[in-house]
Amino acid sequence: MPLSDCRKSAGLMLVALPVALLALALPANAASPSAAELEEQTLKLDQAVQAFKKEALEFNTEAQGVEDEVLFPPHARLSVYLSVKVPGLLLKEVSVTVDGNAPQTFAYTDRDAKAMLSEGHMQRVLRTAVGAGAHRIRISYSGQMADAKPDAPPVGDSYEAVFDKDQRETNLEFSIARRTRLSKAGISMTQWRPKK
Amino acid sequence: MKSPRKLLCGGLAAAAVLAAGAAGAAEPYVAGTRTDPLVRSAMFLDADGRYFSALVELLSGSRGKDPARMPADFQWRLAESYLSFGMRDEAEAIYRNLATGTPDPLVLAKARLKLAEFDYQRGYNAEARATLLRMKEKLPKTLVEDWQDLYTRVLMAEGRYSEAAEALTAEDNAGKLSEYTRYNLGVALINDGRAAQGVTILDKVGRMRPVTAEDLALRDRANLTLGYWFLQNKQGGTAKPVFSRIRLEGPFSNRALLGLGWAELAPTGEKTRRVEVGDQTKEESPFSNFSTLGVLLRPGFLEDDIFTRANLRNFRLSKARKDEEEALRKALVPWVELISRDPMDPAVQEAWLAIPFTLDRLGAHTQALKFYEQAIGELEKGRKRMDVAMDSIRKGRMVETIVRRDIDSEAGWEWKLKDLPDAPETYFLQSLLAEHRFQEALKNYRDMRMLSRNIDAWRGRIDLADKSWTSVEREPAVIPELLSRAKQDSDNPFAGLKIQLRAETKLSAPGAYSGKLAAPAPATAAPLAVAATPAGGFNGPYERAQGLKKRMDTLRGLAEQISTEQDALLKAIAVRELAGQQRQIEKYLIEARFALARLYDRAQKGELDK
Repeated sequence: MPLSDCRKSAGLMLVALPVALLALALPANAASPSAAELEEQTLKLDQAVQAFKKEALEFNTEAQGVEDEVLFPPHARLSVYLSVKVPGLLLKEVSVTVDGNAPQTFAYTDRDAKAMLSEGHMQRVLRTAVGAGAHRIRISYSGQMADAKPDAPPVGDSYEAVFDKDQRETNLEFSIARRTRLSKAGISMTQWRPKK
Repeated sequence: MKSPRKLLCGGLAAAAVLAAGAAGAAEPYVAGTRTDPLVRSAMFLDADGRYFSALVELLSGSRGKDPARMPADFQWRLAESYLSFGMRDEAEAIYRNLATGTPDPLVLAKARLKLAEFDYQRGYNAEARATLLRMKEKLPKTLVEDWQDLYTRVLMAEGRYSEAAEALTAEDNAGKLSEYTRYNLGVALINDGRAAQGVTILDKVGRMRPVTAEDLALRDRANLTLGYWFLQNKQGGTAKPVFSRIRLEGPFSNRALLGLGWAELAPTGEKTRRVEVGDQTKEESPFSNFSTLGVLLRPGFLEDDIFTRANLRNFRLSKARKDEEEALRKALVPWVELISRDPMDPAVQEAWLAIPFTLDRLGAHTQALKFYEQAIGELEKGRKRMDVAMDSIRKGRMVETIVRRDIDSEAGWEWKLKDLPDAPETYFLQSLLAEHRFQEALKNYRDMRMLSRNIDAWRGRIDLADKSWTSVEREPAVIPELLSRAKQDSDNPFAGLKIQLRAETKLSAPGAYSGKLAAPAPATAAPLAVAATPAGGFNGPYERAQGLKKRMDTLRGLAEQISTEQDALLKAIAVRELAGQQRQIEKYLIEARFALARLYDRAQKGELDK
């Protein structure tokens, strides 16, 4: 099959996939398929994988929508984000608690911690449902500076605040930042709301 | 919102600082821009290599809005995640849409280069070439070298060496090309018949001052290519110093040692002139080049009869050198070193045959016999190890070992095999594992495994949502609250409409109108009730969850089927590779046994004593 034809067939619908796959299997009698057969098989399977990825993504998107709607309906939804604006601060662990409920804890790998350091990046550390009114939220973190000696004590901080939840989806961002280059890192809170 | 109060300091070292006023009025953001928490969260997921999660975050968070109508920031992020997860068609559609606007040409060109690289690595060379040619017209100057590099690789993969060389020499930027690109240019020129220029360039790459381990590997590779080129063209004298530049320990060292030995036995060759390729620098020493050149790239492995290939039967030693014995003894030096290395390396196996051949030529027949017997023993061991490796592949252990170590990675196309598994077949498949065709098939297999687990995980999550929907006791709905929620995010369709009131002076008092009554105007629009489509079945979260459950079973079955096929494909590619190497070992075995038999025969006839 020419490559361009293979490319066009990428739009296989889910129902068409099983039929397409019937033709994918290597011939039973081909104990040692030729290079050309293998290449053709590779292209066909690649198209099947591409089509499946699309289906899986659609499924995930819809499933996520259902889960959000049921467990975190928009009027009760609270999303808590964390950003790091201190160069070289590698997070080890972050913990968030709302209204004294069980804390949500996230342990960071090196890769996670480094991904937090780029400008504008923000990690959602909690999504939960809370009713309208005042709520207490507490966040704490521990980490290590990238250039710290191995035996240096971890750095960290905690922050507690009360916020008012209205009938709209609420997005809170906690930023770990320094006010000046020489000052100690601290946490601040920002509430984000979409413009209409 | 009330002012936040810093209540306590954690058990850690940080000091508590009052943060009063830190959370003032809510900050506004425009959905889909770089300030949108959704986009920023996706940026983090992308940087964390969780491309699939980033896609789900963006698509579910945008709640069904058409991505093409979202702000450019959202689209860029989405396209990047699509491509990184290996969904190139979706990424390309977004890039095309973005190109119709006024994007940063540099960012757009980089995105298209990435797209072309994706196609190239997956073997879609025609598509990669088309993408590269489309973008050539508006190519930013800063990306010219990157474009040339990729375009050349695509053309070379298609065997279009002449065009590849043209692409690299069309621009007057030889000094800006990376050493990798220069290596490719050298190979392309030689394959295009412009050997003199190609060899000159390869020689320069082979003499570069390495800064990184990659530079060292590239330098060795250039020297190996060049050395075998000279050898193939009976330029042994020139090949020797080139092979000598290669490190003793490295990925190309075994083949270099083998070549060095053959270079001792090959004709010295003739001196030829140096060729100018237009990238000379003032600092370059005029004496730093070689004196001869060859023409054809010699493949790393050996397919012809080793003696014929090295021309040891045909060329006349007496004409080529003054002292054959000395050359033979010199050839033995690198080969003796070589046979102390891994016997599974084809270069080592060839050395096991070359040594007794040389000893035989030197008249050391007894030692030659001994070495041939040892060579047969080593090759037999190799054949057995190959059988074990073949068995391991057929049982699926290799692929399983590779993917199991990075099982939850969502890296998609960005995934790379970082190290090799400790399995019997690993050694034989080193070169195959490094090839795009195998790596891409492996990535597909990994992605299918990851998606299978992802779908499995949803089973529990959907059940939980389902249960929560049906079992949680809910407060009775408060109608004004529901209305308030519904209104808060909705736009007033009559916003901005100005209603003007005026006094109607001609109206009669009710019941007092005495004029002629006009018939009402006929209705021009169909009644609303008729125009509206009948309401379909209610499709709330519960109904959608039931649909998802059914879909999940179908998807799971499909994932299983595609994974099985992909696994079979990987095995077939690996077995084919191993079968080729096995044939090589068997060929060596035949050669060794034949040589041994001839020696015995000559011994029986008393010829060895002459």
